[in-house]
Amino acid sequence: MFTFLKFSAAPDKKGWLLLVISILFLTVSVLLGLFSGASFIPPSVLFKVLFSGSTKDPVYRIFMTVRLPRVLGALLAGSGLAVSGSILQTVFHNPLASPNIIGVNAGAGLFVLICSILFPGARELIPFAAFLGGLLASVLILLISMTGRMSQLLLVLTGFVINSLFTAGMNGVLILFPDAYVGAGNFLAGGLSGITTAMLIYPSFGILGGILLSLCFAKGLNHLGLGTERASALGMNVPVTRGLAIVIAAALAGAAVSFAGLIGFVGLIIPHAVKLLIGTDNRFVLPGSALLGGMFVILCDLFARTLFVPYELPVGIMLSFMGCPFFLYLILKNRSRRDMEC
Amino acid sequence: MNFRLLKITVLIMILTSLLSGCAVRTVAAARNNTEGQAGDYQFTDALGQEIRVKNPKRVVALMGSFADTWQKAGGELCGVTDDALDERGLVFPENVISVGMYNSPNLETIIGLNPDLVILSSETKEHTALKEAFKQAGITAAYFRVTYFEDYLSMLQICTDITGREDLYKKNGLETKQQIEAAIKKNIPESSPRVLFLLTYSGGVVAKNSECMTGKMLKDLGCTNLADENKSLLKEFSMEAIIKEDPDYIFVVPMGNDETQANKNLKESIENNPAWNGLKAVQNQHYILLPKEKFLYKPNEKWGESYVYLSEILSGTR
Repeated sequence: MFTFLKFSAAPDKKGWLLLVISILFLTVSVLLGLFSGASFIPPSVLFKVLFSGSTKDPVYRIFMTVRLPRVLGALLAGSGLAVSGSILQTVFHNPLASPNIIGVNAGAGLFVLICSILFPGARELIPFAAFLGGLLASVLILLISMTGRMSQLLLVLTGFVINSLFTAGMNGVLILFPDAYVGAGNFLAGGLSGITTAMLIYPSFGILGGILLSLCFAKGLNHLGLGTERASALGMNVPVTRGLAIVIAAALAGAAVSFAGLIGFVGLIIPHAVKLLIGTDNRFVLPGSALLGGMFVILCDLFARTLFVPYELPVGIMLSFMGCPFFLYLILKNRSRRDMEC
Repeated sequence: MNFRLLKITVLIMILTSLLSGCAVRTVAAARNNTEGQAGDYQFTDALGQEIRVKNPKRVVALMGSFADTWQKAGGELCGVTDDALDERGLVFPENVISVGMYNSPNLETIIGLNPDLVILSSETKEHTALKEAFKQAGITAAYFRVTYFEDYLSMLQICTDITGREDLYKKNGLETKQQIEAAIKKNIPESSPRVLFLLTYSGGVVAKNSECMTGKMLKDLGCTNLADENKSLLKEFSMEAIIKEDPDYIFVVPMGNDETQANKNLKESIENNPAWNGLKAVQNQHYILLPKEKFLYKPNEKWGESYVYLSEILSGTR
């Protein structure tokens, strides 16, 4: 079996140091995202135009309507999904759990599509619909996992079934309502093309609020990661903590899906990378995931929009190319460990 | 209580689908013909936006057929999508650049061109997704919907009104209209031929009704489209239904870039069926492959040629 949560021997000092380094890397990636794109704009020109405030200048328009919203969108989506993945892995006690694997993203996506058909133009409702869809998927998985002892792979398979169910729902909706319009860019593949700052206002509340709340729960999540019995022995109300953690994870993933579409694998790759660097203490894993998740999606989106100029790839495709091999690696690693234990 | 909620939900869904269905058939773009101060021109686009332009010189067209229409209206372009070059083979001056593919245009490249008008399609999701971004950037973005000749004529009129080239409206619009009217008048069939119109692509074959471009042409020429009567043909290609209907003509247009693959797929999926050769259309050599330049891409000022082409087939002169 996976020994999922073993408190790192590393002291807090190491965690803080890595968080500071993550902040520095994130800052660099934000600057790279803002200063690079399909058009080459020397930084000196960019600064000059920005400080002169000439809103009619194409450079100003490119910065304010393309690069800034995309970098902000990538930062929010990456942070939200990575923190959501970290929470889900702890709650389900499963390193293979992430919002796109267990169907949280697909649930959010289905509800977003339904909302856009029932209430066309009501953009403020979309993040809420995404949250409900994500929550429904999470609760379904949680209820199924509580019905009996379930192996990690079985839980993932259950998630796969729920994922397929919601994906079939989305395809059905799109066949019946091919004009269903959601957000910007390519919704099913996940993309940030055409995103505006106005589209980010409501989701940003969900993501920033969710991350702050999750930080308040970090210690509780550490106890939850020890297992239900030990967490109860430590005086924790396990069902309540688990339920609240699921709500937060669904809010984070739903808010990200509401504007970026079905971006996958950030919630799987980033928590693992962070645990590798920082250890398993959620007081550091959660902020670390937020920082590195944001950085990762910003860089992936930068590649997606600059590799084949003037053509661009949806960022979700880029992430899937990296995420699928990583997921397979985790499954094989899990299997070889079990084989050794047998 | 739950049943009531269910009823309300179903009602909302039905109303929504009805409304969206009605919206599809609204006029492509209304021409207000408001010429305000100093050459300002105002019109309502296909998304219902009031568009005001003043002699635009830097124009980006995000669809090949729209780039062609704008040029045919005497306008100049500074950015086009790849289909204008690859599919339509349009020739542009060297300073006209590609802004990506029509279904994934590069917003940054478009804004970098500093356009005073961007022409988009209201039927392409990737275009409507850019509406807010253009609005925020303060760039005039006009949406058009062109399916039938009448839509093209309406768009051409708006474009020529903007460029002030009424002569080009007559040449590339009204003359084509006369050609179409003549083709329709000439081809009044004694009995309405029953036709099946198919689109083939690398992944399969799909039947189309009279609501598509070529389907409308066939209807105007007095044909009865089997997919209008038998709606199930639209959802799933059924050899059994085709044998039962036994059409007088079968028209096929290959879709996509891989025409060879589309033809191979056509052969494998339908022509190899033993019942295929028993069809009246096949036996009478009325199984016809149509050129996609005339029947898949919008033919614009050559719309009349497409009508004449079909008219000649139906009258047996081609």
